[in-house]
Amino acid sequence: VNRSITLSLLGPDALPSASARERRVTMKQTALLASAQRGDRAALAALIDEQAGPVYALVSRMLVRQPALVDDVAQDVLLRVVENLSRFDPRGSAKLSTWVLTIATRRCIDVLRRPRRLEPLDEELAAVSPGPEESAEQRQLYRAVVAAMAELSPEQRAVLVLRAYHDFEHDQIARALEIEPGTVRSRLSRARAALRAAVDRPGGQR
Amino acid sequence: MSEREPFEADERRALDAWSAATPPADLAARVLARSNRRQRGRRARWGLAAAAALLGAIGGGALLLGRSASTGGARSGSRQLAARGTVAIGDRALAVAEAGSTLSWRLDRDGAARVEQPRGNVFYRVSPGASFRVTTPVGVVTVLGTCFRVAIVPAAGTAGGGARALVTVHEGRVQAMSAGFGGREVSAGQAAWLDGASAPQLRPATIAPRRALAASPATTRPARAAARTGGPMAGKLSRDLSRLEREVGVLRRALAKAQGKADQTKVFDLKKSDLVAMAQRCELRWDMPSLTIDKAPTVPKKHRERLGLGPAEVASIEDVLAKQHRKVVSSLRKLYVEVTNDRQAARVLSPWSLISEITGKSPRAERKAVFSQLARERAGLATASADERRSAFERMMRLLTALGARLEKEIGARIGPDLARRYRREGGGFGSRSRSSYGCPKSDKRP
Repeated sequence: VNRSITLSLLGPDALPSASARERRVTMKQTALLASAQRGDRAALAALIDEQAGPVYALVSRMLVRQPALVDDVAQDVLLRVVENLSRFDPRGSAKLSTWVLTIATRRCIDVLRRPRRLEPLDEELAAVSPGPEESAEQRQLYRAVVAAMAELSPEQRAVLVLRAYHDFEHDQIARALEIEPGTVRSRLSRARAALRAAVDRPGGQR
Repeated sequence: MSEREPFEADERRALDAWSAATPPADLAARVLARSNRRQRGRRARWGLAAAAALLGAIGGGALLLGRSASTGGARSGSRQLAARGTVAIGDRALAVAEAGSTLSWRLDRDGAARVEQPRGNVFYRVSPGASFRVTTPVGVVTVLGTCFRVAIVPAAGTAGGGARALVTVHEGRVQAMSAGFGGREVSAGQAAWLDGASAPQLRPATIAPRRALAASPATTRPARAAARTGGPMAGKLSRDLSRLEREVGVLRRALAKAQGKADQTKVFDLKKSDLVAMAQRCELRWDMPSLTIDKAPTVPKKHRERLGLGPAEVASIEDVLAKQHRKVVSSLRKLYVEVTNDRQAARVLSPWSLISEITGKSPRAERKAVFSQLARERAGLATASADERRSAFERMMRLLTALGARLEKEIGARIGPDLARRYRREGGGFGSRSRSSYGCPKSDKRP
């Protein structure tokens, strides 16, 4: 998670251990959010630009079998953020990044659940693959992981992605997905087992 | 709850291997543009609702809504074309499909379009707006700009059911994505192969790239679009980019001079030796005004300032530019209809699309021959034949390559030849500059 964004909505008082630099970043980010909520288009553009990376990463991992949809869904998520930003309460329990990624996760699950009228032609593979500089072993592992993750249900995948890549706590995941904390643990356990299996069998043969 | 179970080493390795996609640079700009459009749409709907209520209250009435530049197509559909045809996809896209092409499409509520092209050869023109994506058997093409062609070519021994797709971009940019092998951006003047078995491979396009010598639209357009849509750094970056492009041009010319080489970026006022050398390469260079679909070029502010042009002079130049623009676009449309017999597409395609299409319909051998003949004529090594059976491509090239000189002459008649020359020199040529060659014909006798 982008550290500056993580800090952004806690406010300086919530960061007793933050360095002076981090506090400056926090104040800047808080001011940015306030400006964006007041309708300042430049501030809104900067804020969306900052959120675009984590959102795109989450969406690309969630839509591992539908790389062609990633750009649209990420755009759709960020559009919802723009249109609902005035409703976000910076003094509430959720950080902006948590709120944004919750929207993204729910949107991805909606997309994955709905019947597809146009079936993607690239079902087997993911949006991003290692570049030519990566080793053959790395490429093999990547493919194995992608295949393993694609086998998970959207909800299992969401739990893993939020936990492993976006630093969500279990209770945050539970709230984001509207499930019980126990369910978070069981889904995470299943996803981790799939990860380990991918490493054990990098050929991806199941 | 704050359970922070550490991932095991194997799990971490797997997680690290699962790289994520990074967002395109213009994503925020696109989101904000969509947001703006939605807001305008809502305001328009509220306005319409209010107007309808008012009309109802006073006894009724009719509301007529016009949609400018709309293609007025269906929101979903599918076509199998036995003959060349034009298909309108929603309100903002037009597909000119060759015989044997198959297309299906669907638009969502926001106007985002999903097109499937399992076979055939289709030229697309897409107006700016929500996303537009073409899915082929071997990959996906996402539109970041305006005009491009997707040709599905049968090929044995490849993925995607024995087919490859050639994506040629005429204007703007597209993102070509080969399933599982990542994507790459293809810009105006470029073409890329998608084969379903490797990353998209760029190849030199067979079209004369727009502004081949000028700044690359791929690099300048996003920055300028971002500058228009806001972003605290966008304006500065756009200005920096323009400045760097100018400096690169100056450095290239200085380097060429220092090395005793001919200036490769010069498109007019060429020396005889340069013209002869170009004729040996069957190369043409030309300048002409920027051609857009709906408005004539205007005099740039920097030209006004540097040349000290007064309002009357600016008006004279813009009058000439507007007249020439109308003539050229009209001629291109006639040539396009002659080549394709497709009047509907001729009315809506942009001038650059018309040029690309006319070029695309001309056999490569013919293009080589035309370039060779014109280059030799310019070098004084051949004379123009009086053959009235010139092809559409040849007539188009004669029209385009003569535009710069004709424009200078006409402007000179209004504001004086010296000032007209300085005006042309100010930008290194009028608006758009090109340098192009298809190679020489095999039978060509070199000068």
